Amino acid sequence: MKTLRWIAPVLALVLLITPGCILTSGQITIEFELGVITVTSSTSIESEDVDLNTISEYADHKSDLKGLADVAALGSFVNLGPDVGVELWMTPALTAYTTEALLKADATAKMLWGPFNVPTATTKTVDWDESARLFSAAGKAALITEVTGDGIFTVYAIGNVGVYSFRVDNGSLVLVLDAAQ
Amino acid sequence: MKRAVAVALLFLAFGVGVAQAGGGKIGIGAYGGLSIPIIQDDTGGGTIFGARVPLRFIPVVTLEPFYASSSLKDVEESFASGTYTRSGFDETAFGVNAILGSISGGGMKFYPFGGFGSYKLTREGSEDLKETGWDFGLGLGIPAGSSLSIQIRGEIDMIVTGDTSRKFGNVTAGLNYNFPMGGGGGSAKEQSAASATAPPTASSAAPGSPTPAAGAATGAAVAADSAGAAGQNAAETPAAAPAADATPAPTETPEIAPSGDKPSGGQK
Repeated sequence: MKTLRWIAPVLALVLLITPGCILTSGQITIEFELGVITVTSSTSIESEDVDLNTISEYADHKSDLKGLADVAALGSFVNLGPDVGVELWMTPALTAYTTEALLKADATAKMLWGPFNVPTATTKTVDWDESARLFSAAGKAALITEVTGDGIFTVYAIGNVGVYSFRVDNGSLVLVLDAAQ
Repeated sequence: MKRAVAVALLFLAFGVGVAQAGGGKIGIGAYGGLSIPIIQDDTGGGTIFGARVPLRFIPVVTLEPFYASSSLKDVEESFASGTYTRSGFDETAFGVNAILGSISGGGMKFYPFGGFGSYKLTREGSEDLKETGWDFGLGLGIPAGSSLSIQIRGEIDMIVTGDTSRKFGNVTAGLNYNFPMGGGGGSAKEQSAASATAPPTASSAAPGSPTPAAGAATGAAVAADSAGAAGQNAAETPAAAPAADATPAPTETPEIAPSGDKPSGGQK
């Protein structure tokens, strides 16, 4: 059993040469509840302020965050008007726009997610896999910036057609944080 | 991907050739077990299966190209909006491990190993993740016949994703088959030779006859064999003078007793 005496030094060498942040890292899921978002038209939209610092897992690992491993927007979408594709937008700063025009006029506003198509008079629940697919690359990049920044931003839900009316019940933003010490 | 596979096949072919030419050892094995994600909330655990080809050119290290595939379970999480399911990853990997020492032959063997490879993680709703990964762990080889061995291993796989990694703990059991090699030597020869690279002619030489030394260790073994054989020959033929004794035996003349007694001593 000559190799037995080599086991400890070999393992020690592996631990020494492996960067610590790669060795001590993990993927942690957090949820921010968006509640109910009601949008009756393009001129009557609602905003939801997000403060990730209110979530203990985020606050505890904030200094260790390196990125986002996965992200999803979940909830039940109730269509109260014609067929619509629902989109989620965000502004890095806390804002309170009431119309789609004002929101899109903000140069910092970015589309995070969508469109999630909901037929007229239908309630549709988005599943996790599909929701993850609906996030745009630019949207993920913007979220990563927020997650690794101050963790405070504003989220909006709007339609991708001229006339729309819908409600998001039990909405939540699910983030899988990449953390490493 | 195609280039990596071609390089791996080239390495494998080269390794087999070198192992055969140099009297090394080559085997093939299949394994299966459990793959458990470590600090990963968004994927479940699952089963892992794979194949590997241990190649031993020198006594100190065994190189082992491998291929592995695992299917990880979905995870269910409860949120304010209800219970949702996230698909688990399907993982494929191929690479090479370096094992300290031999993993078969002789008795039970513990061994450390480490390696690297190309890992691919795929699942619904996410882009495929293709990254370099590292693995290290401990193994136990248990003989199961002249050419077979059971390999039990525990290892950690780390798939590097930027500044972090996705880590999996794998526990596997497998069966290895060692191909018989002309110059490879079985367990008895391996245990008796001072060096595993000793040429086969040393052990197949007739007892007592001198053989050229292939190396310092081999020369010592051969010298020991020759001395032992010489001693054995001396015991079997007591009339012959010992090979190391260059002094001729003195010739004794029988005494002639005046009384006619029989002579004592003398030549036999």
